[in-house]
Amino acid sequence: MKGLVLIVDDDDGVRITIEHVLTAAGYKVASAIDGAQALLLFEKLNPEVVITDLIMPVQDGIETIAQLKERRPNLKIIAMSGGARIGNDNVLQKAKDLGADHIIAKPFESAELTELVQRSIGAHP
Amino acid sequence: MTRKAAARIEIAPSRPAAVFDARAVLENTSDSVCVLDRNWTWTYANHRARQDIAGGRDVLGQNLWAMFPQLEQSGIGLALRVAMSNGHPLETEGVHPVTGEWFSAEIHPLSGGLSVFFRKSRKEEIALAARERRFHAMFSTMTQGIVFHDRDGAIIEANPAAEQILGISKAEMRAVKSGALGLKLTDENGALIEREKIPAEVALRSGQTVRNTIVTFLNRTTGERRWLSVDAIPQFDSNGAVLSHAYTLFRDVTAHKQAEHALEHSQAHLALAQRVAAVGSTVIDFQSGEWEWSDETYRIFGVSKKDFCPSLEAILGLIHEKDRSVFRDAMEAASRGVVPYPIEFRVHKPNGTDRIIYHEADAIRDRFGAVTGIIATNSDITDLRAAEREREALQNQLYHAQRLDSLGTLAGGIAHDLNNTLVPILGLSEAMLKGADADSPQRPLLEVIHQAGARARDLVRQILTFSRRENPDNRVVMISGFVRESMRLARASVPTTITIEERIGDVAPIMGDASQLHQVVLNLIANAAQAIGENIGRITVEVADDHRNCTDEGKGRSSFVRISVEDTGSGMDELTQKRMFEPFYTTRKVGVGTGLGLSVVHGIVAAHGGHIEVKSRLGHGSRFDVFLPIYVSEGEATNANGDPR
Repeated sequence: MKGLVLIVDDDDGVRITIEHVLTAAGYKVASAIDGAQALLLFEKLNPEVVITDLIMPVQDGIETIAQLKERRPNLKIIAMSGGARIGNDNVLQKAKDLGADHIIAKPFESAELTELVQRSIGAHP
Repeated sequence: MTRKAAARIEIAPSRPAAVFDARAVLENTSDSVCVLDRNWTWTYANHRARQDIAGGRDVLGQNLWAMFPQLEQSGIGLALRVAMSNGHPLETEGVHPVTGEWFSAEIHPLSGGLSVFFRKSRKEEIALAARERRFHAMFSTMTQGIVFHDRDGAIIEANPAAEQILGISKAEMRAVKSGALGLKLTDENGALIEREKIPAEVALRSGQTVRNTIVTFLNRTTGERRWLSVDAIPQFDSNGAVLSHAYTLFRDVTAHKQAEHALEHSQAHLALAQRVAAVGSTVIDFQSGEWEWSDETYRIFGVSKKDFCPSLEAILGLIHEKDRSVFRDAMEAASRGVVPYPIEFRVHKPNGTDRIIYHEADAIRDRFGAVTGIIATNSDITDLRAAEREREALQNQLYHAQRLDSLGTLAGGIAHDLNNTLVPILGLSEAMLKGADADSPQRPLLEVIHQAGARARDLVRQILTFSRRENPDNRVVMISGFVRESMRLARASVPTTITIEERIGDVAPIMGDASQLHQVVLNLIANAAQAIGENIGRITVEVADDHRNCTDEGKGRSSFVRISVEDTGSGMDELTQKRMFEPFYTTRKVGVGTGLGLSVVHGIVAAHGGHIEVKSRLGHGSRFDVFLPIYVSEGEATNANGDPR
């Protein structure tokens, strides 16, 4: 069994799709519907990779990335977004600046995502 | 009476002893005494008579009438004949036909002739005295000042008006040995008048009359500046040869000059006000048919006073052909008392420029209310109108930009949600396709779902491009290279009925995303081809530097590269031009094209800090000019220090 991937997205359809794609690819998955829940699950499950949306209620992805990186600086994070911006800055770019290892725009090909997950876990010591 | 008594003594023969004495007395009297016999022959003439009447000639024995034929027709001649014939004494008066002087004569018949006493009339003296009094009264009471100068210019005499006007007494004047009277005389412009230029001095020196010289001075008594109009007249002795003296005649023209200056000041003020306000005036007098233009009006119409004489016909010649009737109708109505102002008309200035004139007027009426003329103002409102148009255009642009911006925000929001929605549609249909058997009846249906999802994804991507949600991948781009590349692709998609002309110059590099810019060129060419349709036409693609003085929102960029795509297609109406960049606005049939092509172009160009200008004429084609700021490297930007490349 490959490592655990934590999926964070408030959209049910997105979560279910990613869970299905990664499970089919042989990964273990856990899901959170916002940043606050993601931090709780992170402490409890100690995942290898976190895939997080950026615009979410309760606690958004940008804040979540910052807190996750604070807790474990070498945690692999993949940020994803439907293209919304904060002010004039592209949120994906902002996520990358805050330490997201990879960024991916929705909608994506399944293969694109599994490749990023694979690269993240493979790079892990 | 004494003289008469003496004369009678002479003619009284009863006392001969006195004759000798009487003759001596007669000889010395100041009257002219003569005795004529019955044949009018002189028998005696005393010294005065010989001198005054005969001019020193010897008269004794001469015939009176032969000697003075002019006496025949005179009053005295008649009196002499009467006295001689009737023997009665006679007194008469008149102008002496020989001496020309006024005289009185007493004629006394004698036994053998006549004795005649001529005396200068006292009337002459009385007349002289009266004349003297008249002249003196005039001299003393005239409002003009008069001073008499001797040959050296010194004052001999001055009248009270002169004293009053000059503010100096006669005694003071006399003390000054100059025509300037000790005053500092200046001319109209305030320049000191030198002594040799003073009218009295000029008259004395040249012997010529000097007239209407304007001099000014400070009246010492009142402390006021006064203006005088001065005449100086030289005077000669009785035979007219020798300059004996001169007199200066002057009147105070201060009030006149002050009024003149006030008028000049007022006129200058008006002219300046017109100049500052850029408003000229016209006054038309219907009776004389005269048109009076102010200087500013000449300037506004672009003609000079020297070359142009204002009249209806002449002005119509300056006015734009299409506006002449407006002006003519207004003038015609005004002459009937109807004033249909204000009007506007275009004027073609001789220097080749066209200006718009705003013309406002009112009727001039006499006291009976009849219209006698027009007073009008003219102002050049060309710049004002241009500014208004510019403001309108800017307002439209702003409105347009705001509209596009809000559309972009809306589209971006929708796109974000759609992208989330598309994740399961694409991801799960793909997963299901993988799991489905090759011959599963579900497979073609899943493929339709997946393809539809993919189409929706592409569409959303374009919307995001328009709404600038996708950042350009910034690299230094050599425009001419990638445009040539785009042209190759474009040719393949454009029908052969359309000629594509390339005018691609080598231009400065820009910073941008080549693939996005590539899409800009392709979209514009596709749009141009669409406008030409199935007709024969031409698309011209041009790339050139554009060094217009245009800054990009204060970022200091001042030079642009221009990519132009021009077509000979159908062109766009106003509505289309206003809305062409809006997403989903299309003139194509439903189902043909997405209506996103130009929105995408707009989004990409805006994301690159550029802008688009569009010129289009319905039925003649369109031209899209895309301006992209050129790339200035950090070093260059610093070195250039804002100097446009």
